[in-house]
Amino acid sequence: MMRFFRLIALLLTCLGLFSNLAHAQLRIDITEGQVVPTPIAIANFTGPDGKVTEIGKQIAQIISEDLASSGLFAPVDSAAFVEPPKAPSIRPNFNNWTPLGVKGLLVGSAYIDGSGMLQVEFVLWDVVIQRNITGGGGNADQTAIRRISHQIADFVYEEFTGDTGYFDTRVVYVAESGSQSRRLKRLAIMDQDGHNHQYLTTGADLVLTPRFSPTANEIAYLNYFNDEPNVYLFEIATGRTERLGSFPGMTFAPRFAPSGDKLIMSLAQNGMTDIYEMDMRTQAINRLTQSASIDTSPSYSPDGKQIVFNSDRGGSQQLYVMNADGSNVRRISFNQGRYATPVWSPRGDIIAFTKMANGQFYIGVMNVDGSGERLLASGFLVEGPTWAPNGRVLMYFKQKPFETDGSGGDTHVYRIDITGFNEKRIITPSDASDPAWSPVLR
Amino acid sequence: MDRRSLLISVGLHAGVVVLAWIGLPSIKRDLPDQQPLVVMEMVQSVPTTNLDQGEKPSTAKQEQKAAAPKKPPPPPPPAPPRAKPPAPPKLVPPKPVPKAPDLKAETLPQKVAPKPKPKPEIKQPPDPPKSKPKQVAAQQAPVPVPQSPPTRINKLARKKALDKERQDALSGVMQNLAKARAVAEEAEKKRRQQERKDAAEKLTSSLTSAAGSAIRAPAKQAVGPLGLSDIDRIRQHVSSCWSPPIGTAGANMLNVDIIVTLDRGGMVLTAEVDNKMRLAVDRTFRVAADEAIRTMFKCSPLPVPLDKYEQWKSFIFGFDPKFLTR
Repeated sequence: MMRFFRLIALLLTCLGLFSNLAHAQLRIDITEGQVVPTPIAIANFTGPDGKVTEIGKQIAQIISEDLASSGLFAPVDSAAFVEPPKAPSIRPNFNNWTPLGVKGLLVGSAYIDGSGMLQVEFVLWDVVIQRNITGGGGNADQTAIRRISHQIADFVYEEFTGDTGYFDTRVVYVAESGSQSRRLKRLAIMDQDGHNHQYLTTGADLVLTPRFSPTANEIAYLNYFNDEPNVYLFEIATGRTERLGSFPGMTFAPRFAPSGDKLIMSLAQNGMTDIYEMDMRTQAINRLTQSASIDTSPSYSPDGKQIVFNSDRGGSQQLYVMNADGSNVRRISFNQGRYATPVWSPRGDIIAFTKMANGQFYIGVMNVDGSGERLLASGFLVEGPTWAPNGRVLMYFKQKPFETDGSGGDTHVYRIDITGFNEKRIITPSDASDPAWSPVLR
Repeated sequence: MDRRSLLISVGLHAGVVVLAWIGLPSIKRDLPDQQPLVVMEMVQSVPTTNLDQGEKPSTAKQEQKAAAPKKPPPPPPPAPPRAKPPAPPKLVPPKPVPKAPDLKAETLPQKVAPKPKPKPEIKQPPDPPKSKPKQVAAQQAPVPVPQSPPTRINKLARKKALDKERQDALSGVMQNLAKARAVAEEAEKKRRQQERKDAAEKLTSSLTSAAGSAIRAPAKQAVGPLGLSDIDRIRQHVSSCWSPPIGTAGANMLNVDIIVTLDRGGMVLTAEVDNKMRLAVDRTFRVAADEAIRTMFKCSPLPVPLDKYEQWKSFIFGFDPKFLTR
């Protein structure tokens, strides 16, 4: 009898449990996916009459190239479009776009109005969900076609990646030309895609390590005049230069603080190379490190509270982090090889560096505590990483080895995604080194 | 008052005396000879008793012969269902009286005609109700009387012997009856136990199977009511459609739960983000959620077993992009 009741109780319990579970919603976790570029359709922009304009074609082309260069998008050839859209205000027939497998469709209009201004309007459609994602418009000078296009590309990029776009940015670098014995080095600036190239200096003086200010309006750089290093500030809009100070001995790598009111650099004085900060307003200098070793290549964290630099105080060149006032210095790199030119990511989560090991140079990244080191690029000489403003693309320069006859040694600027994929060379008129990526232009 | 009480007391006492006067003699009276009635009834259902009695030598045979002309052998049909039909014939063959222990019994064996009395009575029961055997017994009783010596002693002795035999027979019958009843009860008990046991086993087996399936059910429910292969097929299908944005900061924090409802063909009807609050404040999360929703519609229809619609008509898909950070 007891057994009977026990069985009944068991049965009821099980039924109750079954009932509860039956009401629970089925859950399936998806932990694997495809790492593929997002397919997207960029329609040629049309004019007021619904016909494609020449400017509209250019804009669509620039946007497509921007998105494709990121490695995250795969624009579909416009020849595959069944029914090209006539205007951004018209809801597209999604049945014509779904077969292309695209996730997004960019439709826009662009034309020169009566006053000679470029009028642009665009709408980004989600082809899968069949809804309007984002849209915008505006007007600009006709010469601003590329910038307008980069800005639209940034909108698209942001909607599909969640990160800030970086297409409307510029890069300053050292343009090199001439033989190795008479090397001409000039400051040059270009759009992040290599267009709109400009030389900023004549090449009469040796220039090194240009860096953008946080506003992207100025560039700080080293100018060797009569073999004496001077820190200069170049104002982009006006082309005006200002000498911030002359420092006897070797000076290296001036870099702006995130606030833009300070510069940090290394100075070699009395046989010791230490980290200094300079107030931009008063030009007062404050020494942050005091060691007999060589401390150089300082870079602020995005919040300005910490500084990463490299030092050989431990016997070999390694990366160290300290507070912005020079306190609490701690080593973060412990792997084999030497580390140099650390740059804190704009995201604040990782640090890019140059590494020398086993006769090779590497560009890599590591977490701010030194863990999770990943090497992204390598070569005979790769150096000088600089971050895109969204912190997910790195630019650096790579030099080929010299041949026995003295030829070779070509130096070019490259960029690579922090995933280690999509390494692309930026085409420049001449050899290029020491790139520095600007913040997003606004 | 006293007089009245006295009168009442006298009256009551008188009543008691009168009742005693009337009732007490009846106590002394010989009890009516009702046993045969009882015996008859018992014999009917106790064939073994008949068997024993039937083994008596000649008397029974003679008795039967004597009785035969008077009444034809009773047809067995009306016998109670459990009475063995062959039993009555067995009673017939003469056999020695089972156990006539005392000497008195020895002297009376042949004289005691009534001995076999119960036998015919035993055989007759079927037809007549209870009263008839009594009459038969009454009719038969006088038969042996003339044969027996008319002495008083003999009468007493005979009566005693008769009583004794009756008692013996009665006790034997009772014992047999009790035994038979016990056997029957035992059989009935066994039958009931068996039935109960069968029923219990049947119930146990059904409960066990029900409980077993109920216990097994949760194991399947750990991955949902669908089979593991179904789940894996759906998971693989959805994974092939999902291409989350790579290199996004904090990818390990971008888990998105999408509540999906399906129609009977597996087509995605709705796909909604579970955590709507975060959508408004976290752009990266919104992008991840949009991609997850796109994935569901892009993957539509899902490869779900059509016969299990009730189980999969609503899903929660948890998209976890941690694999991008490996």
